[in-house]
Parts: sequence; C-alpha cells; structure tokens
Amino acid sequence: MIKKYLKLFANSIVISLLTVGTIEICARIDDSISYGAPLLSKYTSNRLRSDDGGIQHNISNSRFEKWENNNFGFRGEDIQLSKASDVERIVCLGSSESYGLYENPGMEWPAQLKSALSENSYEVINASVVGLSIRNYLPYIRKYILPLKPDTIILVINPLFHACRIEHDKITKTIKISAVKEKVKKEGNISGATFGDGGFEWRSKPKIKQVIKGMLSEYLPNVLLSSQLKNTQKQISQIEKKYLRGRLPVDQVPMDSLRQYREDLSSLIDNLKFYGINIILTTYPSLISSTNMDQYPDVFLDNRKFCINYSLVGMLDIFERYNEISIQLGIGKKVDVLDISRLIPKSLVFFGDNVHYSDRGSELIAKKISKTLLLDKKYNDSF
Amino acid sequence: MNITSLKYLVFSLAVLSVYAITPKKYKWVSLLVSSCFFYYSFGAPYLLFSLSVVTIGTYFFGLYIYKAVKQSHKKVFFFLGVLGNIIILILLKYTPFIDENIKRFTEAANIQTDFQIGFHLVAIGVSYFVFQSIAYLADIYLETLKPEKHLGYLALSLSFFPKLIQGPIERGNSILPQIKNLDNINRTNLAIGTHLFFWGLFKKVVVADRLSAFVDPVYSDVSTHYGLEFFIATYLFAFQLYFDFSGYTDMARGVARCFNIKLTENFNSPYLATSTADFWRRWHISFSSWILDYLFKPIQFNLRYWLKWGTPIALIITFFVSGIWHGAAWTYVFWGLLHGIFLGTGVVFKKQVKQIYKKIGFKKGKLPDFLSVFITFHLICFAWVFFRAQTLMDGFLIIKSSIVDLPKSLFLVGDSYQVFLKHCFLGKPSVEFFSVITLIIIASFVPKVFQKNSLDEAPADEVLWFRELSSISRGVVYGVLLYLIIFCGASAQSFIYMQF
Repeated sequence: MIKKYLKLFANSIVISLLTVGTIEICARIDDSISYGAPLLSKYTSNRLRSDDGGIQHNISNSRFEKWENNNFGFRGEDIQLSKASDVERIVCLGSSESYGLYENPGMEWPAQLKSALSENSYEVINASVVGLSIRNYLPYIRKYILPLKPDTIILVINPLFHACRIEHDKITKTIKISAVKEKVKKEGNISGATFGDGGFEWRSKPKIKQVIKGMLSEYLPNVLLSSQLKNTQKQISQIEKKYLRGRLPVDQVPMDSLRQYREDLSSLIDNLKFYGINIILTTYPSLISSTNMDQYPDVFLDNRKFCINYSLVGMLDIFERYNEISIQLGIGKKVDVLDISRLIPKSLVFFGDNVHYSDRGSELIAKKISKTLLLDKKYNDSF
Repeated sequence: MNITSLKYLVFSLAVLSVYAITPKKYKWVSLLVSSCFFYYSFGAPYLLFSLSVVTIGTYFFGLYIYKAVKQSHKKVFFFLGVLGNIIILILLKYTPFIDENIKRFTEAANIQTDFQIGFHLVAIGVSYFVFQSIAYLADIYLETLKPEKHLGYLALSLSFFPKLIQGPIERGNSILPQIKNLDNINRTNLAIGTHLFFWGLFKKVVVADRLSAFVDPVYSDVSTHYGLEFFIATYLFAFQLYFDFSGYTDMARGVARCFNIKLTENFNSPYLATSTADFWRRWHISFSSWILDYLFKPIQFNLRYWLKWGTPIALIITFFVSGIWHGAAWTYVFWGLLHGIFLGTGVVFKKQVKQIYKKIGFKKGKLPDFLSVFITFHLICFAWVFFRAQTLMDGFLIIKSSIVDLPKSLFLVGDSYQVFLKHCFLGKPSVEFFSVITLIIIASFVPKVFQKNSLDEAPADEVLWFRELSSISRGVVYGVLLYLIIFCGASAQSFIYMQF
C-alpha cells in the first residue's frame, strides 16, 4: 500500500516538474516567435538602450517585447537620413511618456501625430529615450537629432527627472519594463518588477504573476489594491531609509532646483533656436492633482518611489512649478507652448499611471499638437 | 457566470467539495441547489422561475400521461405538456423575432398598428431544458420511459448545471438512472473529468476564440471584403464553430464526469462526414437525434402516403424547425432549410445519383470517401455562410462575391504577392494565421494520433488519449496545454451555441 502511494507521489512529482519545465520552455519559444527574443540568454529592456559616453540613446534595430526601434534607434518605422525637400520634419523628444509605455504599438502620441498629419507634408520622428532628463537633451540632440536636420522639435520634458535626479538614477536601475505591464495597465495596477543580475531567469514567472494579478483585480480588486498599497509603502519606507537617512521628504521644490531648471530649459531653447529649429514646448501632464489624490493612492505612491526626497504634496508642487516655468519661459522666448497638462482629463482612461498615457490620452495629445501644427502652417502659408 | 471564467472553475470546485462531504442520500440536493444558484447567477430570476414551471409541469404531465388509462387521455396530457413547454419557449425566446416581423409586415402592408408583444427577455438555456422536457414527455407517451416519481431527481435531470445552458440535450433514460445513483467521487472519473474540462477549455479559449479574431471582422463588414477572403473566413468559421461548441461540450462533460455523471458525446469528427445525412449523425448528436426521434419520425409517419415526397418534405419541415430552434432570425431559418433541401434532394435523387456514379465508374456506385468528405464539407460550409451572416442579404452577397470575385482575388498574385497574402491571411500577420492553422491541426488530430482505443470507453471519448500517455509525455502535454490556455487564450468571448 505504502509502495503504491510512494509510486503515485513520485509520479506526481515527475509530472509536476515536467509541467513547470515545459511551461518555461513554452514561454521562451513564445517570446522568441512573438518578439524575436533569444531562447537561452537574458531578455530585458536593456537591449533597447545604451549609454554611449554618457549620452543615453536607443539602440538601432533593437526590440524588446512590443517596443521596437528603427534603423536610427527611434521608435517607429525606418527612416532616411535625408528628407525630401517638400517635407517638414518634426522630431518628438521626450522620455518614456513619449517613447510609449502603456500604449499599444502605434498608439503612442508621436505615432498618432504621424497618422493625424499623414495627408500633409510632414514627417514625424519619435526620438524619445526612456529616462532622458533635461540635462541630457542638448548632447543627445547634437549627436542624434541635428544630423536629421529637423524643422521642428516638440519638447516634452519630465520634471521629475530634474527635481529628483539623484534618486531617480539610482532607483531606476532596479526597475524594468516588462511585457506584463501591458496587461497590468488594463487592470489599472501598475508596478515595476525587479530582478537581479544573477544567472537563470524564469521567463514564465512574470507572466504567471501577471495572470494572477489580472485575476485578483477582476475578482478581488480591493484585496489586490490593499496588498499593492502595503507593498509599495513597504518599498517606499525601505528606499526612504536608504536614501533619505533620517531626513524628511520636502513639500516644496527648493528654489535652487527651480532656478536650475529655468536655466537648463532656457539654454536648451536658445541652442535649438540657434540651430534654426522651430520649437513646440509642452507642459507635463500628470494623473494626480490636489483634487484626486485620494482616488489613486496606489498610482501616486508608486510614482513616489522615483522621487523619494519629495512628499506627495511636494510631488504635486513639482508638476505645478515646473509647468509654470515652461509656460513663462516659452512665452518669454516666443516659442509655441502647449499646455497639455490641462488637456488630459485626470482619469485612468487617459493615463496608464501618474505620468504615462493610455491610447486615448496619447490621442488627445496628438490631436492637440496636430491642430497647432496645421494652424501654424495655415498662418505661415497665408504670408 | 461564464463557463470559461475563473468564477466557474471556483464554483465547480466548491460544488464538488460540498458534494464530496454530503451523504449519498442527499447528494442530489447539493447538486440541485448548486444548479439553481448557477442559473440564478445569470441575473435573470425569471429564468429560474421558468425552469421551475417547466419542471413542475413536466413532472405532473409525465405522471398523468403514465396513469391515464385511455389512449385519448394520454394524448391530451401529452399535447398539453408539450404545448406548455413550447409556449414558455416562445415567450422567452421568440418575442423579439415575432415583434420584428409583425412590424415589418404591417409596414409593408401599410397597416397602422402599435401591436407588440413587448417583453424581450434573455433566454439562456431555455431551449435546451424545454427540449429535454419534451423528450421526457414523449418517451413516457411512447412508453419507452417510466415517469420519475421523485420531483427532485427530475428537477436535477433538467437543471444539472454543467449542461444547463448549452446541453447536451439528455434523454430521461440516460440521465435519470445516473442521478438516482449518485455515488462518491472516484479518482478515475475525477481524472477523466479534469482532462475533459481542460481539453475543452483549450479548444474554446485557444482555438475557437483565436479563430473568431479572423472571422468576425470579415462577417461583420461584408462590404469591404471579397472573393478569397470569404472563402477563407468561412472555412475558419466552420472550425471556430466546431471547436467552440465541442469545447463547451467537453467542458460540460468533464465537470459532470467529476460527479460520476456521463453526459452524451455531442460530436464525432463531423467534418469527416461523407454526406450531409452522415454530418447530422456526427454534429450536435444530442440535438440531431432529438429532432430525428421527436420531429422527423412523427412527421414522416404522417406523410407516409405522400410516397416518394413524404420523406424529403418531412426532412425540410424538420430542418426548418431546427433552423428556428437555433435562432430567432431568418438567417437560421434559411440555414435550416438549406440542410433540409440537401437531405431531401439526396433522398429524391438517390437512385439517379447512384446510376451516374456507376456510369462514371466509381465502385459500388459510391464516390471515393475523400471526394465525399470534400463535397460534404463544402456543402456544410455553404450553409454555414447563412448561419454566420448577420442578415440574409449579407449571406447572399458573400456567396455571390465568393464566386464572382474569386478570380479577381486570385489574379492579385500577378499584381502583388503581398496583397494576395494579405487576403489569404485576412489582414493578420502570417505568424498568427499559421498559428491558428497549427492549433486547428493539433486540436483535430492529436487525440486521434495518441488514441489507441485500448480502453473500455467509446472511441468518441477523445480525451482518453491523455491517460494513455507516459508520465513524461503527460508532464509535457500538461505544460503545453496550460501555457496555451493561460497565456495564449483569447477568451472573454461567449459561446456561440449559448444564444440558442
């Protein structure tokens, strides 16, 4: 009798191990067929970007899951270096919110702008790089954008990268974009998955995790939300402990930071003007405002992981103050300023998280910018 | 509660747990209560009420028919019982159709009236339990079944949750004895049931739902497609429908099997049928045998004096009703009529066709099997066009375009191979197209390859191949299936046959 049960037990163990192993192999084959991922070596979002002599840029012809770079390392279809004489070349420059994170492929705002302008003689290039901060814009533009001879550059500048740059650089090294985020977005739960640099990595693990999250968000949304909040709070207190070392997070952006941002932005605009490039400067939209802070506690807290030296109130202050500076400086320097921060309704229908957009959010931005561009064109043509 | 949802899986496990700890004597109670709860979960309490009315009515009429001494009394009770069931079916399922057609007719005839029956209800599962009730009454009337004296057993036989919303349509003498002898859960049935459930889930969420992504865009916008696209979309729809419905049936049979109840197998490789008559012996078997026994045979008997024309007319009437049963729309009616015509024509011209075959030189006056299968499959697909089309006009347009525009879409090869391929793949990437074709092949042939028929079970119980695998193969197969179901399933689509 015991022998029979032992045999049954051993059999079950063998079947279970083989099942788990097969699921892992299937995950690798699936990634390989769907995204051209390597079967054996590591597969992370690092394959999309490189740091070339301190200038962060995308790697040409690279791909990670739904994100694909073209022959110049820009998101979208391949382009030619030289542009046609009757075409106005527009370069969209931002960080992850413009490169596209939660949108379906082809739905990030520069791609939608391209579609919106397709009947006119415009060429839209999405040259955004995930994690690009204002201080890196100029060297990046000089090296990668100027050879393209753009007519217009649309600037979307993430203020968090400026205000929280020290912590951000350190913390983002442990955060990866995962395939699964695509699905998480649908359920409205956003969190980065961390991973180590060690040898073997389960490809099926994040997929399974995501399915479980999806199920929980469908059937037990409150349980999931409270557990996510708990986790995020725990992570935040660990990061606070590590980086703040007893200091309190601030509620207001220090004047020095604001002055520095003004100087950086001013220098960027002056330089672009010097190169004869038309500039469209935008404000930076965020999901959370002072009126809806309680509505999305998980989203806001999650964003705070990247900006640990600011309190939640302090983070709101960042968006408000930096956007004010963009508007003032833009008007002062006579460049087009689009206040897209007030354009997008503060809802998860339009946002994927606090600073990234959904397909619909991107659609609103693309429409607004295309309208401005076409109006400008009409105005210029009339003279 | 969608049967492919996690909710259903959790519900089934909960019912199974309660069933396991319930004493034998009261196991039927736990299943009946669970079934009522399941039906109630669709958010339409009147469905449960209708089921109760049908159950109680059928119970008493069954007893009256059995107890009636005079044949005329038996007949009256039988007709009253059937009429009651049909009235409930019409009230719940056909009022929108009736209202729509009254409106069309009055508009066409320029008659001023506001007459409308008015209430348009959801009728999930109604046609299935009503047909089972009618079969129960007919069997008692024909004295092939004794009425069930225990109202609870009868109620459970009609409402048993795995088969409630989409069949199979069980016969009293098949399901009632099993319900009366509900036993403790046993490991073999549990294993077979689990395999059946997951195999069905695979067929539904991985194969059928992926196919619908190819078929739906074509059939929902017929004006922007033509020629070859309709051919391919229709072939794919044929498989989508098969995997959708047979997937559901396997899942239902799987859950039922865990409770030691064997439900009827509804399919037996229908697209390998060598004639349309053979197709109906292999497709939706519980329904086709129902219409054969309770509709076709009585009509045929009544038309026996019409000599040569009796059977074809009986077939056309039977399949006309079958069309209406499938859906309250003219597309279904036409689909049913087409099948009636296929079968009727076969009967009328049987002799002539045999003579022609003999002249051509086919042995025994029969087409070779592969040719029969090929022709039958195309006749079935021709009819599926009307089954799937949104309107009759769409159906005719598809048929016309498939014939008239086919050369045009084939000539695209000369113009641009890429455009031709785009047409072939229905606008989807080639990887996706070939994935679904591979999935169709896997779902169709893997069971046949592995099945050794060495077990006692009927060969049609295709999932038994699981049990013949070695531990190593089994681990690999489980892994592949689970991966496909969990990560490649395109679910959230409801079952096609649920609407019937």
